[in-house]
Amino acid sequence: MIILHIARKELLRSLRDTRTFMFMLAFPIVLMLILGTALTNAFTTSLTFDDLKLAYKLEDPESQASGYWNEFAKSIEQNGVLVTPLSADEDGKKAVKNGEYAAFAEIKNDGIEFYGSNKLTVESDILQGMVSAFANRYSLAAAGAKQDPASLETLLSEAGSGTYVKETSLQGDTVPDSMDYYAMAMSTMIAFYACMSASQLIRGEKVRNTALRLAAAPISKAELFAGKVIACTLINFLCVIVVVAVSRFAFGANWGDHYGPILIVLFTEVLLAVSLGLGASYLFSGEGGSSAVMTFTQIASFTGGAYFPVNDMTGFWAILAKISPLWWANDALTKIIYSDEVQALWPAVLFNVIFAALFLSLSILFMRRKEAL
Amino acid sequence: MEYWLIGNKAALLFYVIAATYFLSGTSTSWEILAYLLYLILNIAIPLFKPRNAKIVLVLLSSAFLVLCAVRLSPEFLLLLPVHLFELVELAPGAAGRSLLALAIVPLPFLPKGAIPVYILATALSSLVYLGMRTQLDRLERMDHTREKLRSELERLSRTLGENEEYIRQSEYTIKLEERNRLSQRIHDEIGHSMAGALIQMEASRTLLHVDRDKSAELLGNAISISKEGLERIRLALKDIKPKSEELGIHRLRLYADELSAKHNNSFTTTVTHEGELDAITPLQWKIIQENTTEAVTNAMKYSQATVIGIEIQVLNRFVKSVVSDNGIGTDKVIKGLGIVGMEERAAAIGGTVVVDGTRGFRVTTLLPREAAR
Amino acid sequence: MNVLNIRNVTKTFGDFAAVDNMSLSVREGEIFGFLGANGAGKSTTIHMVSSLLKATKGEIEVLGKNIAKHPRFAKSNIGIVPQDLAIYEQLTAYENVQFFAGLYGLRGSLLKERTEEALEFVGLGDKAKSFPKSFSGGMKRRLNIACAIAHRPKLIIMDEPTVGIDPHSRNYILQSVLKLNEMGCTIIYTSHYMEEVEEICTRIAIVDHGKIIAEGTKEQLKSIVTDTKEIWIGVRSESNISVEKLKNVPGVVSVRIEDGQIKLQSKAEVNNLNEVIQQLIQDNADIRSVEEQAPNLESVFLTLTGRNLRD
Repeated sequence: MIILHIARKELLRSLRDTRTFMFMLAFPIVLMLILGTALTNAFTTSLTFDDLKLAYKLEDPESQASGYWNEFAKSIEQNGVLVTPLSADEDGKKAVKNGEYAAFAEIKNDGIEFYGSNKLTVESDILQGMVSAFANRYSLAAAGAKQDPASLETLLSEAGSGTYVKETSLQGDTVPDSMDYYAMAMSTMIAFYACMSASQLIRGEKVRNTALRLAAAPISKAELFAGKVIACTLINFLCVIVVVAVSRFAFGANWGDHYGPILIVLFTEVLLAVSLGLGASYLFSGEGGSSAVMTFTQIASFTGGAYFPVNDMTGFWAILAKISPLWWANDALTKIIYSDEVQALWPAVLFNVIFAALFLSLSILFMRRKEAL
Repeated sequence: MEYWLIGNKAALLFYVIAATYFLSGTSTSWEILAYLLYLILNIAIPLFKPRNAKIVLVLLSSAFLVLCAVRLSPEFLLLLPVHLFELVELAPGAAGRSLLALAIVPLPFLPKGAIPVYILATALSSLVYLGMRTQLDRLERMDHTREKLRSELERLSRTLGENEEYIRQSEYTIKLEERNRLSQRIHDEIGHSMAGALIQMEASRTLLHVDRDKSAELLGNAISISKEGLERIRLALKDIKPKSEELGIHRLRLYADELSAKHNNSFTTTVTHEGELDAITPLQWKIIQENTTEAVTNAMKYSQATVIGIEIQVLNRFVKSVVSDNGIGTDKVIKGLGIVGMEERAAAIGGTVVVDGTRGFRVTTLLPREAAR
Repeated sequence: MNVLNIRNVTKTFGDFAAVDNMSLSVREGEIFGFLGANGAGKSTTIHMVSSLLKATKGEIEVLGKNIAKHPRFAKSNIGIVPQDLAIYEQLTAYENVQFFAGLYGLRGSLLKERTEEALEFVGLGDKAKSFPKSFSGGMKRRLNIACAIAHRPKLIIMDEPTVGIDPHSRNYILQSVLKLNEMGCTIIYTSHYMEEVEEICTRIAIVDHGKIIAEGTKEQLKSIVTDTKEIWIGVRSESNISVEKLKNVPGVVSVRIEDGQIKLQSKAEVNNLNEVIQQLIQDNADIRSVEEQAPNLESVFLTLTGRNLRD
């Protein structure tokens, strides 16, 4: 009960502290808008590439599969793919290796063998997506035909039609554009900014002299602590949700389809930030806590990809980036949003929770040693 | 001790991580989970205060290790002996020590290759543990003896102080007795001889016109008796009268003058007084004298003062003596033996000593007046 | 019964003893004044009583229970009004009081009732919904008090509650202290306004360098320095005045006449100004001025500690 009482006060106080609250909301949204629009080109140009070149070989040109493959080939040619049939004596794999084609597909009666180029990875990935979609469609249709031979025609004609190409990963909006990227990066950044308000949780009471009253009241330090951590986490999580919502509905950023896991990642990140801020305020005396947290937040934001994508980094910078808690979160979110890999949330959540527990226990240890608050 | 055990565990854990994660090559994320869980469990152990909670955690951690050893890699068992030591630390007495034998229990369950490492790790850990334990026990015993000696010393110095106080008191009583004796002597001897002379003179007056010779003889007797009496008074008074320099304020003046002279007049000493000095009892004078000497000595040693003022003031219910200087003073007075001595002297008759260092040094001794007590 | 017992308490910070072997008792129903310069150890003592600091040595009892062993009991029975304002600017007056009272376990309608009662008590009943930033210094001070009394503590500790406020608010606060006392609260009051302490406190302790130098009622403290007062009466003609008759007025110890002024020394506790003046009128003395110089706490403090209270 006391914990809730304290949490309620803390919530009320934070919500009424309009200046800080507005900063926490306006800062990421404005930054998102600026970076998102200013750097549009930087994100799209890096994705342009020449024609997609796909070579293929039909094992049995007379088979049903081959027929529909031709249908498929025609439809993807309309989407700008250069489809080249190879004669039986040409070596498709070698041609791909030499960089003549982005990929080579061998259509056999029992399946399709696909060789992607390891140089033109983006192109080959796209082609692979298309081909595997075709294969899925085709095998579905074939299975369906066994059940109901009459429907085979319609199924296969659907399989061959160009509509499914749209469902592969060719369409531009499934790769992050600048706004999508900064919507995500700003959300994780603002989630981590929670550590700044957390570093003021105890310090602020001291500055306000209310620490004296709290210490004189018949409550345990643990209750006070719990109330404050809960409130601080909630209020900052609320900020994050607002930022996410604004980016989604006002700027139309892509957040994928898995809001649950995304919010879980962000929530645990807030929790980590709060614990970190609290721990720092105990580790450093006076205002040292906030400035240490401030510095760390800025460095972590920078290396963690809040201002520019860091996935292309190599060597030292890559390691530096991976130390940043923001990187774990961004990495997990990228996978969840663009690759539908919901499992990617676990490493981030696990790291966040474990470090949060670590810093919280550290704070508790320090707190118990102190005479007053 | 706790830190040493934690260090031991950390060292072993590093080895286990190295052996199971980096060197084996067959590592999975399960291992990482295991390390982290183990870390959490073991960080929790020092966090909890109650002994039972610690024991439960240690047992939990041990069970966890066994589980890891069975499911993941037998190397985890290397950490087990340290837990045993922890249990021994928590369980009191010889019963606890016998638990150490349990360290050999895992031996039969280990794969052949791991046995030497296990024995090595256990033996080294045991050595560290037992060595530390013996040293700590010795330290404890020494602490114990030291504490006993200290309290003994305190007791002795207290008795010494009490004896001194007793001596001081009896000195005073002796003086009183001495005065009593003197007044008795005056009364007994001089009183009697004066009375004798008076009777002789009365008789001489009666006989003056009747028998001149007899009268003259009686008068002669009276004169010699008076002479003798006068001589006795002189002698007795000489006995009774104390030398003026022995009296309170004079003695202080004398002390101050000597001091200035001794230090080639490098500083000035003033003695002032206010109120009825007669109200100060000899015991109070003694304390004032001693405290003043102490304070002046301190002032000369540390203050770099050029003026030292001694002030005695008799208030309605207190006698106040102040030694102040114009030296450097100090913001925070650290009590040395000198100040403690002054306090003890004053406390013996219910007084207080206040040392102020804000504007030069100022030592105030407040003694309650006899009548006011 | 003693509400507070402090026995041989010492508090050291490193080598420095902020409170030095202090012993003190506060009895039920007292307004106990704690008088001392800045840094004398008042706040340290108060902080130890309210469990903010732990005593290095010695023990403290609140309502007969040791605070080290029963911290919750002691804390629930104490209300502390800190020296500096300790309120939340983002909460309304009502919410401030409600929050602090809630920390003492009050809930629901009782909490509401007590909160309103406390605000009413300090005269902020109509400002319940306002934010402290719209308050004057005095109103903030009053809110500061309300936050400490809503849980109806038996012992209220007020650490300089009137620093830097207008005379009206100050008067209001002093009256509130007396009213709280009438309602059965024991109060410990520290201040370096001597007049306040003299006006409201029933017993006073003078603290310096962590020690209690003197303790007692106002009268007892004043009598430490002297038990006489001086009455100086300026007259136009001193020829008719009978010194003998003046000396016979009860309480008068000595009379001397200097430069057209009659200087009477009299016992401090006797109020004999009327008789003296009557006597002078009988003697046709033309009285120009009357001045009474009784010892006050300020002079007692100065004499005992060698410095002014507000140095």
